[in-house]
Amino acid sequence: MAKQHPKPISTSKPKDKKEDSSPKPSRLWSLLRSTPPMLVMFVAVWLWAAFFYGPVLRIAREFSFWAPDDTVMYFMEGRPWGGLWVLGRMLLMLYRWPVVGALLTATLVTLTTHLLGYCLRLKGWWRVLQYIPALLYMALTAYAGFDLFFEAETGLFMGVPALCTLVMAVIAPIIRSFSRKPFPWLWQPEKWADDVPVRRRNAQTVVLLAAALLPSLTAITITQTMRRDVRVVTRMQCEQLALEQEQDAMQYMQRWENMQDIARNNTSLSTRPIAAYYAMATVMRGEQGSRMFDIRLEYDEPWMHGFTKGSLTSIFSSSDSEEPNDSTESKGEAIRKMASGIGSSSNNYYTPECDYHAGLVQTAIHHGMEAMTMNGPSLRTLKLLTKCALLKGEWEVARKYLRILGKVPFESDFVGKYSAMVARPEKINADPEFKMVRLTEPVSNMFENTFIQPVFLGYNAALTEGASINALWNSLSVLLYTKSMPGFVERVMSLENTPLPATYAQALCIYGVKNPDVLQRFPGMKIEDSRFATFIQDIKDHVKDKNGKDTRRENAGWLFDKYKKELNGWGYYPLYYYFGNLKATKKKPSTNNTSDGGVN
Amino acid sequence: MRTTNKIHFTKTSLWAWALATVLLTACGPKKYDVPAQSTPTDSEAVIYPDHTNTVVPPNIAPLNFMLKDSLATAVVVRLRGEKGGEIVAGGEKDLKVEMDTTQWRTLLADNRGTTIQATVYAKHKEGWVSYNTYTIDVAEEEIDNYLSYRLIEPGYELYRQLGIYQRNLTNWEEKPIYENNRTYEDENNHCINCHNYRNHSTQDMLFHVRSNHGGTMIIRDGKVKKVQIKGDSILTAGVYPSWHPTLPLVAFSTNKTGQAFYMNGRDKIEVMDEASDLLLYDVEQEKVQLVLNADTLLETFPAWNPTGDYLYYCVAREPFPEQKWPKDKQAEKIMTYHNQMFYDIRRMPFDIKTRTFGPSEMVVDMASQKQSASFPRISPDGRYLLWAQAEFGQFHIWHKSSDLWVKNLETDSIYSLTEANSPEVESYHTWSSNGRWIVFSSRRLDGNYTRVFIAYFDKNGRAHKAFCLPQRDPEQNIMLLKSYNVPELTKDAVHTTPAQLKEAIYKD
Repeated sequence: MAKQHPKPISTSKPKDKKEDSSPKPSRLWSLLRSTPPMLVMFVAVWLWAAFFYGPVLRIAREFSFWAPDDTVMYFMEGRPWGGLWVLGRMLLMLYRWPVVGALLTATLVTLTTHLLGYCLRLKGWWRVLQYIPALLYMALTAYAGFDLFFEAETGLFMGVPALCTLVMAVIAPIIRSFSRKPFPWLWQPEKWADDVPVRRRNAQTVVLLAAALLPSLTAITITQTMRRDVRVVTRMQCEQLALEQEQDAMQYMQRWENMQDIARNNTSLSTRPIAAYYAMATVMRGEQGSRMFDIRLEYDEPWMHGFTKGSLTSIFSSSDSEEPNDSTESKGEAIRKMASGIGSSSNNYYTPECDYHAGLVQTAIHHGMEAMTMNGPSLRTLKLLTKCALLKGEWEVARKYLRILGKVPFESDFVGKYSAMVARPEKINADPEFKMVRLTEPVSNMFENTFIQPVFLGYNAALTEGASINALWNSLSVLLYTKSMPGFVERVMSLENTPLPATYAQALCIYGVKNPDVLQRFPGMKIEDSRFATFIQDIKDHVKDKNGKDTRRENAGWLFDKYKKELNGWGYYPLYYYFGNLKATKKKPSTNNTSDGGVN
Repeated sequence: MRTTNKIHFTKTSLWAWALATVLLTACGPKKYDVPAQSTPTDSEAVIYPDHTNTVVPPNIAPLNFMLKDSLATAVVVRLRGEKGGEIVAGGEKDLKVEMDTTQWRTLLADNRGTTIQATVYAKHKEGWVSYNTYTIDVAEEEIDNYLSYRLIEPGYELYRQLGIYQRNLTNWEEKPIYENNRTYEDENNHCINCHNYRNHSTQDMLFHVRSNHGGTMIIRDGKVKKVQIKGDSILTAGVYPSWHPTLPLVAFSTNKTGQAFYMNGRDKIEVMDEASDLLLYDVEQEKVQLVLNADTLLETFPAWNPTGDYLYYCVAREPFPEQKWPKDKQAEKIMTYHNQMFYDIRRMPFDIKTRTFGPSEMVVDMASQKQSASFPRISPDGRYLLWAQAEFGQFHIWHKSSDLWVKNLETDSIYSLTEANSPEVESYHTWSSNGRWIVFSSRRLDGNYTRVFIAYFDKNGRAHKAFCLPQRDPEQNIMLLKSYNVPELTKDAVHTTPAQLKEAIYKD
C-alpha cells in the first residue's frame, strides 16, 4: 500500500484568493501568528508561579517537608498515593527560589498540555480543549488558597502535574508508534494549510493564545476575588523568612516593617493570620504601645479546610457565631475536639510562631509539636523547634533538628546560621531576633492553663512580673485587645511618670470619658485633642440604628476607612475599642481567669 | 550454525557473569583495614550512640555507631575479642560504622563471658589518629529476643499516626504489631497504648484502644477479643495493666488523668491523676471488681510479683485532704498542689485460692522523703523491686529528675542504679525473663525523644552502664521524630497479625 502523504503545509504566505484580496497582514498579526501558544503558556505559568503566586508557593514549601531519608519520611509510607506525594514534595523543594520552582511547574504544565493535544489529535478550534487540564489545575490551586498547604498534602501541587506529564510522556510515544503524525516541537509556531483563510487563521491564533493565557489569568482572577488574603499573609511570611538570613541590623528591622506595611496596605482585609503576623512584627519592633491597632481587627473568616463561616472550623475562629469568642470554650476542649476529628483551626496556622514571638518559647514547642504530630514534620515547624531548642539551651535536640534540616535540599543557609549557635549562648544572645524574644520570656514557671491567650500575643494578663518593659507592653496590649480597661488602668499606673505610647494614651482617654479621675494620675494627659472629641461625637450615630439595633459590625469597615486618614499618626485604638473585635467586648476575661480559653 | 550459536551464548554468559561479579563487588560492603600508621590522641572516642565500656548480651545485634569528630573524613574501628576473633569496619559518609551481622555474631559467640577491645581510628587531614581503646563486655546471659514498644510523638495532647512495633534484638527486623489508621479519618482515628504480656510470653497479651473503636484488646492463644473494662463505680476504664503470672486475671488501675504544660523551666509537661483506683479483671469470666478505691488516696501502677501472691502498687495521698474543694474543682486542686503529690510503693498479699487480698503494707516510703515512685516492677527471681523515682508526681517520663531505683527485697536495701541512670529521664523500665537485663526508656540522647536503653543487672544487684537499642543506621536515632514508649521484652514474637487485630478493633 502506497504511503499517503500528509496534506502539504506551509508557513510561507499562502496564495489564496481570499488572502490576495485582503490587506497585507500587520506586523502584530504576523507576530501573533508566529508566536507558539505553548511558549505563551510556559511564560504565563512561569510568571504566575514565580511572581504572582511565588510567595504562596514559597510558604507552601515551608509547610512541606522532604528529605532523602526513609526514617524521617516514614510518615508518608502507606498513605494512598504516598509515592506520588513524596515526589511532589521533593519537587516542591525547588520553591526555595520561586523563579526556579516556577520553571519546573511551567515546564510540567506546558508539556502536559502539549502532549495532550498531540495524543488527542486535536486540530483547529478543538485545540482549545488541550488547555482544560491546565486550566482546572491552576484554577483549583488558586481556589484552594491556604488549603494548598496548610494541614493538607503539600505533595499535590507538584505531584499532580508530574504524574500528568509522566502519563502523557508514556502515551505519546505509543501513539507516535502507531501514527504517522510527526511529533511536534514544543516551540513550533502554528502551521497552516494553504487553504485556511487569513481571517480564520487570525481568529484561531487569538483564541489559542488566549487559551494559553487563560489558566494563569483564571488563577489570578480567583486569587484576587476569592482568596485575597492568601497572598497578603504569605508575603508577610516571606518577609519573615528573609529576615532570618539578614545580616544587616537596619535591613533586619526593615523586614519587620515591611511586614507591617503589607498588613497596613491591606486593611480592607481582616483575618486572624494577617493580624497575627502583623502583631508579631509589631512586637519584634517594640511598637506594641503605638502601632498594634493600626489595622482592622474584625476578622473576616479565612477560607481554610474547605470551610467558611458557620462551618466546623468556626468552633475556633468564627467571627460570626453567636457565641462570643473569648473564653467560650477552653483551648484544651477545642484541641480535644480537633483530636477527635471535629474540625481544625485557622489558629494553628500562626499559633506556634505567635507563642514564640511573644516570648512563650515552651508554649511554642508545645504547639509546634502538636503541628508535627497532626501533619507530620514541616520545615516551618522544625525551624521553629530548632530556635526554641537554642533558646532553651537544649543543644542536643537543636543538633537533631538541624541534622534533619541539613538533609533537606537548599536549607544550608538556615542550618549554617543556627548550627553556629549550638552550645554558644553568647551568639544566641547577640542574635536580634532571640534578643527580642528573650525580653518577653516568662520569669516564673506556671502552667499554660493559667494564661489568657489572645494567641497572637499570648501574654498572661494576670502576671505581675516580667523580664522587661516589653513584657509589660505585651501585657497592656493584651488587656487593650480584650478591652479589659480596669485591668489595663491598674497596670498602666506603673508607667505614671513616663510618657505613654499613643495607644495607651488613647485608651486612658477613652476610660477617662467616664472616669475622669484616672487622668489626674497622669497630669500631662488631658482629653485635649479635638480629634478625639469629634470622633467620640461622630461615632455615636453609628453604634445603633433608629430601632436600637447594634450596628457596630456593619459600620466598622467603612468607619475604619473614613477615619483612616483622620486618625493617621494619632492611632486607631478608639476605633478598635468601639467597633473592632466585638466579641471581645461581649465577655471580658477577668485577670484571675484560670481557664485556658482565649479571645481568639 | 548451532555450534556458533552455542559459542556466542557462552561468550554472552561470560560477559554477564563478569558484569554481575563487578556489580556485586561494587555493591557489597566495602572492606576496611586498620590504618598502617596512626597517631594516638590520648582521648576517648566520642561515638553516637555511646556504647563504650558497656556490658552487652551475647545475642544482641551489632552496635553500629557514628563517630563525632568534626575533623575526620573517615573512620575505622577494630574490635578484638579476648578469646580471639576480630572485626574491622569503617565508614566515610557521616562517619558511620555499620558492622557485618554475621561477623559480629561470631565475635560475640566466641567471646561470651569475656571482653572485646575496641579501637577507633579517625582520618584527619594530617593522617590517621587513634582514640583510647574502650571495652565491650559480653555477658554470659542472653536477653529475650523480642522487644515491643510504641512509637509516638513525644507527649502533648494530640496523637495521629502511631503503632506498637516489635523488634528482633538479634537483628534489624522490626515489624508492626498494630498501627492505627495512616490517614486522618474522623470515624476511625484511635489511639493505642499500654501493651502488656504475661510472663514474657506473647501467648497472652493486651493493649488498649482509645477514642473510636475503643476497648481493651485481649489476645489469648492467638484469639483476639475486645472487651470494655467499665462499671458504675469505675472511674474511667482499665489503664495500667499487669497480668497475673498464673491465673486468668489482670490487675488494672483506673485513672482520671489530665495534663498541663509548663511555661518555663526544665520540665515541659505534667501529667496528673485527679483520681485513681485499682481493679481486678477476670479475663475468662469477663468480670471486673474494684480492689482499692479510697476517697483520699490515689492508687495506681499495679504490678504482680512473679509468684502472683503479692500485688504491688503506687499510692499517693490527696494533698491537703482537709481542704475540701468542690468535686468539679478537683482537677484544679491537683494542679495547684501537683508538686505535693508523693507516691509510695505498697503491696497487698493475694490468696491465689480464694482470690482475695490481704491488708496493704508499705514497701517503699517515698512521701516521708518528699520523693515519688512510679512503675514498680519485680525481678523474675522476686528479689528486686525496680521503680522510677522523681521529685513528685507519677508520670516520670516527663520528669527530668526521674531515675531508676531498686530495693533488694531480701535485705531491704534501697539504692539508685547510678551507672545505668543519666541526668535525663529514665522510666518505663522492664526486666528480661532471666532478670539479668533491664530495658527502659530514656531521654538522654537529646532530652526530648525517648530511646530504648539496655543495662546489665548483675548477680549482686548492680546495674551497669546502659547502651542504646542498636540500629542498622545509627543515625536513625536522630532522624526518628517519635519516642519509644513502654518497651516490653518477650521471649517469642507476637503471632497475631496486624490485619487480625485491625479486624477485631474495627468490629464495634
